[in-house]
Amino acid sequence: MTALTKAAPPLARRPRHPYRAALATGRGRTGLALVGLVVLAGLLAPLLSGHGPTDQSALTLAGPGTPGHPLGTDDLGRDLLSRLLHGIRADLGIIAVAVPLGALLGCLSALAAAAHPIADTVVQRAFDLILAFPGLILALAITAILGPGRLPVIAVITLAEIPVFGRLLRTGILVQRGREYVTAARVGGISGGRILTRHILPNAADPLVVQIAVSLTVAVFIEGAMSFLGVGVRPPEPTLGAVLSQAMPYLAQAPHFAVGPLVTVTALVLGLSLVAEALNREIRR
Amino acid sequence: MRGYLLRRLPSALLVLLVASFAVFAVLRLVPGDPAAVLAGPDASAETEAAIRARLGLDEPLPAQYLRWLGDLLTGDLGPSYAIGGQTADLIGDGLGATVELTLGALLFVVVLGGAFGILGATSRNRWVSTAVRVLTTGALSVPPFVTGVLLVLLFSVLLGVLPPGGRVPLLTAPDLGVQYLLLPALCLALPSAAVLGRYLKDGIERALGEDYVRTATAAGIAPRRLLWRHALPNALPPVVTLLGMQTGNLLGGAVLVEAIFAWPGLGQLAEQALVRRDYPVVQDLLLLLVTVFVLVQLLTDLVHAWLDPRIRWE
Amino acid sequence: MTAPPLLEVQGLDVGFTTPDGRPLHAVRDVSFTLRRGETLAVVGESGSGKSTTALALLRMLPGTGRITGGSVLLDGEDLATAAEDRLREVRGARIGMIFQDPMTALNPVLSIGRHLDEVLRAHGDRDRTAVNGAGTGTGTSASTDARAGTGTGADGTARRRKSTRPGKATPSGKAARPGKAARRARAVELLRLVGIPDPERRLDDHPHQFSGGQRQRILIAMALAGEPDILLADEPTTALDATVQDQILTLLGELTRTTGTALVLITHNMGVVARACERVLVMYGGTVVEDGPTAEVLARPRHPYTAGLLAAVPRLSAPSGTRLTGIPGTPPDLSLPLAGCAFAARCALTEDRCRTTAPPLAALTDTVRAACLPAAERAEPLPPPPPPARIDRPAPGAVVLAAEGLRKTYRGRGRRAFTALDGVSLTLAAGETLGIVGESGSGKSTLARVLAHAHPSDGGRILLDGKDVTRPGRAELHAVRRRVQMVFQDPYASLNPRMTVGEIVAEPLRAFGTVAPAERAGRVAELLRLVGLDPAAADRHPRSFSGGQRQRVGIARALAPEPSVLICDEPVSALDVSVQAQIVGLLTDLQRDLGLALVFIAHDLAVVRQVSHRIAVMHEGRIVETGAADELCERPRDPYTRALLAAAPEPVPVTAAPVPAAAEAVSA
Repeated sequence: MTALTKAAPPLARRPRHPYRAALATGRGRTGLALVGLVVLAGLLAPLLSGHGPTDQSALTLAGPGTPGHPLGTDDLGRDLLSRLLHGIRADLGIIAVAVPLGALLGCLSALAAAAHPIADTVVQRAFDLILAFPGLILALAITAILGPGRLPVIAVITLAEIPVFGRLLRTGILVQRGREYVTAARVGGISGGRILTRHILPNAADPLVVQIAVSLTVAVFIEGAMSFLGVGVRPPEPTLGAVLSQAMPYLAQAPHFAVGPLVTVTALVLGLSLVAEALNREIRR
Repeated sequence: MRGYLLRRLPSALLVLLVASFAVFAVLRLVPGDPAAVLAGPDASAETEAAIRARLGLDEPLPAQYLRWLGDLLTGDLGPSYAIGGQTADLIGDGLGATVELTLGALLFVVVLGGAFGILGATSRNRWVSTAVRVLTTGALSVPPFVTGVLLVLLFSVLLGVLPPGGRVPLLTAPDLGVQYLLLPALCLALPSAAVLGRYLKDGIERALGEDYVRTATAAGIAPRRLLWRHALPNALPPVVTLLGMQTGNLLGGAVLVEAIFAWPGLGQLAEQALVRRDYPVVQDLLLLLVTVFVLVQLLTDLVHAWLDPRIRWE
Repeated sequence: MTAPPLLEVQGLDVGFTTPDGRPLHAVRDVSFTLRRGETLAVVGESGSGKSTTALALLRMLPGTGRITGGSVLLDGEDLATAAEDRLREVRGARIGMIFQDPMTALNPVLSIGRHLDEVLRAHGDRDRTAVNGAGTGTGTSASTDARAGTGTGADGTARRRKSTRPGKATPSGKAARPGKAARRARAVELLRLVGIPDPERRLDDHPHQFSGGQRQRILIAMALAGEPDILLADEPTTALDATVQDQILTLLGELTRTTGTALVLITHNMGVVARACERVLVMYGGTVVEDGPTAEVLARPRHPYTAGLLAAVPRLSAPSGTRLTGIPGTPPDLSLPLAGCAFAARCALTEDRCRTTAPPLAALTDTVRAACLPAAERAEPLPPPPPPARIDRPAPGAVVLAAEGLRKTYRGRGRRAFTALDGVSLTLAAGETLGIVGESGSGKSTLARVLAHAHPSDGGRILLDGKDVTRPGRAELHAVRRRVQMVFQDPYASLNPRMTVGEIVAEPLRAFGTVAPAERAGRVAELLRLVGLDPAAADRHPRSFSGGQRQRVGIARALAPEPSVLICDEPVSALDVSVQAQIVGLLTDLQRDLGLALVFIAHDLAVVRQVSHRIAVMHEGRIVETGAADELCERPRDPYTRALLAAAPEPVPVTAAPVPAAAEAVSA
């Protein structure tokens, strides 16, 4: 449409950074609020809960509203609020390490791939190999080596995220490298390193930012699933997935047992999805 | 088409080969003597020796690897020491159950995802498009282990209309089998259906904005035909690729869903083998799953090429 | 013979909503009529509203666009208010449309046969006379009249076409819905009509197996499949090379003559107008500024904008070393309310009332209308454009850059290797402009990139000041780049969207260390002033500038290292003619002031002749002819040069009516 191309008004004020604009939309704000709430609960876990997450009492499967146990207790008489809050804390601890680590390693391998054709082939095949083990099957393979615990969970998430970020950045770099402004920068005498950092990467970074939000949700999924399968963090330490899987046998008897982690996981993932969606819309405009 | 297959085949075989190395290495990385672990603490020295001989653990690594591949190709996987019975039978039974679950889920993915995508992209009704958006965001945001719990709570505990777990093979008793299959398949399918629906919606919307659709509109072609005959064939090839990727996710997700619904498939078998440290079974299983996944990818690429003439002719 | 108008547009208004919610008035009060069999050109620059008008006729406005006022009467039926179902019967059957970019306008996954089949199916079940009759009772007879009036040359072919048409021509019976075989036969016939060789075999091929020109022919076949009364062509040749453009225009001319279809041709190219249409409608800022017979309007423009636009078009006859005429300023911002004449801000003849009163489109003679208050009172013609001014440029000095036998081959993913440069040799002297012309795929852009060391050459030598710099080392490359800089074709893609204009211009300063970091800001301001931009622009991002302004930024960046050679790869191809003159003028001024040697690459021979001392013509990776600019254009030796010269459309007023002698040739 020729009529619209010329329509760009002579802007007097600087436009807001697109990320901030994205997060200021209704979608973005709701997402941030949900994530913020869950993160805050996790951070303040020791202050908010009156009991230790593994302290047992004689009061088993008490309903919500029981004095001293606002969310009730579990089958071993442990305070559910405390287990929930500490579970959030454990989850956040895992995904806050694993996702950035996976993103970092993925981006580094993409940079290596961009540097040399041979490195590119090696990196590509390595990605293919990791991707040949779909999600939880990778988890099983790694747990087979490492045994259950916190470390395999982190390793699985990290490993699963490497090819995701790696492919994304590699494609981005290849696309931007073909753009004319990069040729212009090269003719302008600008060094290869500076072209990469100042010209290519800023333009290739947008999808990565969205992917971080998406990957955080995937990480919550993986942690939960691994705990559920009994190959995650070792009991009695609580995680969201672990509490949920403990609640399974008592669903009919004490449904409140499952409610806390259900709501929390959903809120966290929903919040992250909304943030990702808001960013994605703004970037695609 | 055949040329395309011939070009794609080597890289698929390469991935399989490297994957088999990796899986083989997994077993050798396990700390301790596998034979001792397999035989258990109370086993006699003879049993341990028998296991060691059977697994060929005293041979050099390349020979072990080749022997393993040979066993796989002949289907002679030997007995399972920890679980009991023949490994091939265990895997065969599990495979049947998992394939049934995955295909059921795939059906849900295609139907739900297709409906989400087409309704979301074309509905002029605000309520319909909002509903589709909320449903897809919801299906994406709730992990399968949560959906599973909710489905069981609703349909088994509260309504009591569907069984909370277990399996009756579909082929032996179709009516009963469907009841058992419904919840796990739906639970497994939801996230993939949402991803597919969203992708399809974007694809259709993009295609509807393309110049060729404008050409067709200007030629007086009706909107319905524009959607089905002009936009959809363009939106479909990448969706097929995605469906291939999602089939992998379904295979992976099956491990979890089987645990929730006590579905006796490969996932359950893998979990059991892991817990009992029956590493030969784990090893066979992993390679089987990876092979299935790589084959699905290959099939996807072929369908993609079949749908998109530009690739076919390249 | 005065038939009632086939199409009558009255007071058409089209509005959009910008992403930040402001209304944008893209088309304001557009009125015109179209008679049966008439050819009408709608000409204007980007943002003039010409394409929007075309899309509005069929109510196919994109995004937030909507018709906010006026009517579009087709045989008396208002399409602006018609139901969507009714519009669908009109689209394709009564008004066919072709679009600008043949590369994207065909569905990549459908075969050509399917494309045509879809259209034939959509309209095959409607009897043509019934469609006409729904509009008005006189429709059919008027059509017959118009066809009878197209002359004897066309008559024979029209009759022949009718008799070979299956389904439709057979009286009643199974004609109601042509079967699959009949549609296929008709598709073959249509492809033959538009000149696709071997149509039976090619029917099952997919779009990517055809060239750009062939695709445009296929699109024309699709538009004609429903036998429309009007063919709406939106920049049908803009994406094509001059020689292909020529063929497509010839085809359109012949088809409209033989079938009696009226043609509305949307274009920015005055040469195309002169070549293809009897009547012309000039648009500016969303309004019609002038309207009349092409010969009359081109020979004696009444509106200052029309006159300015005509003067800005580079003429092939203008000798080397003359300055292009432009129109100062930029088109109006359509999102702002407009009080007076849209052109007032750029018009040399503006009076006070022009700024306050919107001029009505008033009839000045029997046939010409113009929307200009002073023009209505003016008796004498507008002052002719000033004669082309000579550029006072010094004589070229010693040779700075030379290339000997350059080769470059691109290897695709498959086995096909594409030779872009096949032994190219040239020399360039200080203060000289070497023009390079060629069509797409001729290798001219590759040559620019190889000369600027953006891509390495596969063979041959590049000499800078007599020194071999073909494969420079790191330090030497840096030194070469300081001397040889480049201006790119696409002012949108060649500027990093994440950087401010100031940062973009400062990058080479930093890279070459020409000025101390503390003085960089000052030097950037100086460079921006040099290319005619406000130094305050340094803080803004490229997206808030127009195409011409961005190209100035690109030039400022190229000038930053103080080069002695500037390689300009199609620097004005993406710009409107009125802006093109400004950029070309800037480049020649800079050459004079800084003693630059210029390589000026373009596909428009007329521009190249005016700015260049010497011209090299490229074809399939080779230079086929090279010589002094005037000499080469006056007395071309190579057949390819001659073909290029012949294909360039000139906005010379056509006095004689086009000769329909060639009509039989095409449909035979």
